[in-house]
Amino acid sequence: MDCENYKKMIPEYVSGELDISLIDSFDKHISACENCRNELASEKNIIKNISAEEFDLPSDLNTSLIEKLPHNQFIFKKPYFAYSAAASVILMIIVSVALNFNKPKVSGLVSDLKIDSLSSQSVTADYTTYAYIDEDFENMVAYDAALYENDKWSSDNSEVFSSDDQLFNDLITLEEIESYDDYLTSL
Amino acid sequence: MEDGTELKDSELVKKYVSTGNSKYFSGLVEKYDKKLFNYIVKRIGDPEKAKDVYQTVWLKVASNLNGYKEENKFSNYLFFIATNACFDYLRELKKSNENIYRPVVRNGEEGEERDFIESLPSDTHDPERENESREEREMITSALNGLPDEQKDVILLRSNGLTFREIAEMKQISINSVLSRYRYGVDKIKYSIAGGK
Repeated sequence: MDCENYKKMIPEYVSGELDISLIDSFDKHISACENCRNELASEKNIIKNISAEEFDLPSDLNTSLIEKLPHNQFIFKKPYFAYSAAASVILMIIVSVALNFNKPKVSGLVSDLKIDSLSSQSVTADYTTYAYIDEDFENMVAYDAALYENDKWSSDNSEVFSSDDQLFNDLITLEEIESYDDYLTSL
Repeated sequence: MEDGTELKDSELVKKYVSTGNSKYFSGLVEKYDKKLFNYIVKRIGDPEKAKDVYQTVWLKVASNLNGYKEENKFSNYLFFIATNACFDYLRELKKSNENIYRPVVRNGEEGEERDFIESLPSDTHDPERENESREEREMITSALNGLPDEQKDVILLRSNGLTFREIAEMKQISINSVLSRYRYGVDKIKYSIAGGK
């Protein structure tokens, strides 16, 4: 190769991008050729001078730049934010539908209320659900009225009521006996 | 609490995109502010106008970080946007028929004009060497400013540490085209320096 070929390699040699297979040959030529050595030095000097020019960054430039940044512009732009928001909405809909599906339908005046489920077992189970989950006061009153109606039908069937209901019935019975005793004593 | 400047560029980008916290963007700015500002001043030749272009570049970076790909170097992405912003500025300047290759700054209250090169800081305290160094730098800068835009840009990007391969990727042209622009530009600068002596 002649000097022209080696001169063309100078930019890539300086930037560290010269093919590794050419570096040895280039180094040997530069050490032997004064003309090419001067070319290399001249090019390095030009780049060095251009790099060395420095302008002071105005002190307030970065501060005013940060103030101009749009705040929180990327929140919700990332897909996973959108996915979690969508998943939350879907979950809320599913839970809401599931709760409404299990709830017994109550309609009409309190005195005329009928429970959809005719089974005494399901009445007991629904009562528990109703008392603890659904806080709609009107529906609770309606349900109590319906239970009262059922009480007549299931008076001989104690498992329909909870233990608290049974205890309450027992106490009333005791009061009635005591008051009957009092009545007898007064005679 | 972690300091933004301790993180890698790609981590700073990720954290800024996911949180919107400007602390992480400041980390990026602090790493590249001087390099970027100097590139823009040299590219457009006007330190005052460079302030606006500098902020425009960073704001463009901030609003387009979703499109940044981690496999690319952030500095290349930054200079890609800077190159385009400078090009846009110079195009507008040409339209308004202002002199873009011999920029001047006003000096003091008297309105006396002087070459902006004279305002460059010096790196030596020896007055004689300082003068020689300044003269040489003036000649190089003057020759650089006289180059066609494409050649000047490649030389400036190279002097900011970008490799020819990175410049080629950024400009989406072949590495041979980049090298060709660079060689033509440097040869013209060498010729100017030799002719000036």
